Amino acid sequence: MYECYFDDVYRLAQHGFVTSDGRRGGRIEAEADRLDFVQDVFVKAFATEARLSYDSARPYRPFLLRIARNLRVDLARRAGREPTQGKAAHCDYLRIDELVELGTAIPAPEASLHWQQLVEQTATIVGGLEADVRDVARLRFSEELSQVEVASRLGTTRRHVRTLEGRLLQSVRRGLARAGLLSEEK
Amino acid sequence: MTRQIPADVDPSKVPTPEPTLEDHKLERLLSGRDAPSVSEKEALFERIYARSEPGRRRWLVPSLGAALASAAAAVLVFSQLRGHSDPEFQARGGGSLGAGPELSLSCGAQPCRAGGKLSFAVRAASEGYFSAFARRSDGVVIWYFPEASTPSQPLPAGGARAVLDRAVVLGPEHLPGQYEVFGVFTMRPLTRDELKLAVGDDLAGSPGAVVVRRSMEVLP
Repeated sequence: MYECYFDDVYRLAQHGFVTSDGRRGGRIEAEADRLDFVQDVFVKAFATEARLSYDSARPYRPFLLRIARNLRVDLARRAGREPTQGKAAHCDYLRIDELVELGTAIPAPEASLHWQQLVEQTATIVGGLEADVRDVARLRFSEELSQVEVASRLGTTRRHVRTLEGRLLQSVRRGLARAGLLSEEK
Repeated sequence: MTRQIPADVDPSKVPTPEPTLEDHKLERLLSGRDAPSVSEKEALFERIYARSEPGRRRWLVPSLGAALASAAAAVLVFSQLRGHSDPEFQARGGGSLGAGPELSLSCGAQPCRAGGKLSFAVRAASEGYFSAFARRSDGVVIWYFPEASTPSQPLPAGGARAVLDRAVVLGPEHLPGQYEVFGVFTMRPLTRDELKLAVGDDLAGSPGAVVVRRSMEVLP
């Protein structure tokens, strides 16, 4: 459940949500606050009250995103800021916006040009590394497998996977510094 | 470190280097997305787990209350009530004899596969009601009985062993693999919400809800 819907909840915090009258709100600017919000959503979703109210005959995603949306509205109201404007925010407090109800994917925000350059350079750096390190980059960070799963796929130990991860990060950091994209090394 | 900028490049268009990058940012670059990396998600999950009520933590993996596969995919089929023992049931974990209720599963003469029918043979010393659900190896729970809007169904009277008059069609959510099937015997009919509470977080049951577990393998 967490693995399946983490990205949806996180993107809701990145984008905010759209009310029935087309206004957007609820966007969380600070990264640390977004992660706290995601944590709060899943803690609430896994609590007894939420579990008992969920009808397992219905899709889980709208149920979870409804919790996220309502939590966001609650937090903003307690902070004295209404995250959405207009009559719809009050009348439709529990109504999910079209993005959720229609099952539309919540898109990721557009990446900045600088971010794209960093990603491209990182891919170039990884392409020049040893095969086992490249495998860890793909399995761990692209396919998002756990260290145990990566170890199993590569026929090695979890400790060795952690070693390769460390080597990978070090190599990428050095490569970005040499490319002038980092002003100093860690 | 001094950056070398080619003479024909406008310095104002050259992005300012990052001061340094923490590991989690490097991991995001490796994933190609400016969103939490796998290790950030794992760390956050640890925090969620730690914040969950101690008695509920088992639910974070086998979540009965938040099944991905719903009973909408498990279609109930009526067949003739059979009052005698069936050798097919005996071959599939016939259960222990004694005072406790008994449960046996059968997919007929064929191995269990998606699209096949799963039948239940039960026996209980007294009248009562029966509910059932299965748990996949990945923790996903699949409801069999009761349906969303109805309570659990009555057991055959008289303490005789009998095949229930309702079978379950194994829907597409029954991926190949090992399953644990939970039969719940109660004195009164319960809705799903009531069953969740009665069975408890560890699915071990309670004085009012006796749980019998059986293994089932679904083949490709």
